[in-house]
Amino acid sequence: MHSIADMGGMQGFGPVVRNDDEPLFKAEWEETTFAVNLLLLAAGCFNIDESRHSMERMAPLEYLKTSYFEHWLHSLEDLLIAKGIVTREEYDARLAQLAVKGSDL
Amino acid sequence: MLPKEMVATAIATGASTLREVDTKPCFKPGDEVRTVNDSPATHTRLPRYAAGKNGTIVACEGAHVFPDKHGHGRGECPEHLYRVRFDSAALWGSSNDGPGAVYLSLWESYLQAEE
Repeated sequence: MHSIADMGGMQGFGPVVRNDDEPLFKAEWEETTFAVNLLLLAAGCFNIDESRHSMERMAPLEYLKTSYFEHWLHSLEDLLIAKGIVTREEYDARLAQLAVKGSDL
Repeated sequence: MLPKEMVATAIATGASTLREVDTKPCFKPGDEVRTVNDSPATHTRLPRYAAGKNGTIVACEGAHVFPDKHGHGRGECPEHLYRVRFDSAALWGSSNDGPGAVYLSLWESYLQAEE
């Protein structure tokens, strides 16, 4: 599909900034997202092509506003719900629970 | 279960998408091809900038799992994969920034013979 993820040849984003010393992960949640995604792939919950397709179906503005590993996080949540491994209700309930815990910190 | 000693190797090398198929490749190095010009609403690995463009086969890379089907739960459906060379001018027209080229690995379904 010709989605927002299909950006090759698009202009106006400025130069690609390369930093050879860039860390593999910029935050702990990125490491966790990487690990959980690999485990879900290894467990056969979804495959890498389904994962890529999930990312390219992100709403365009959301896609542009979020980082690389947020795209991973989006796809794994999206696919776990789509495949019925987690229900939408369970997902929403857990988010609400975490929001309360977060506000207590 | 994957032995824990093999986890690092599994992560470093990934899962190969190379498969055995009975069909012979339709193209060989040196063949001129044109990519299909389509707008599927489904998954594809043919980038928009390379749709409907002329290129040259430079290598056959074996048969690989076809993402356009595999990404929709329709099985692996392996197809021959080719490394295709596209001149900068063929992709970007007269605004190209020099005598460069882009190489893409493309599945057989994306390619048509160009006389």
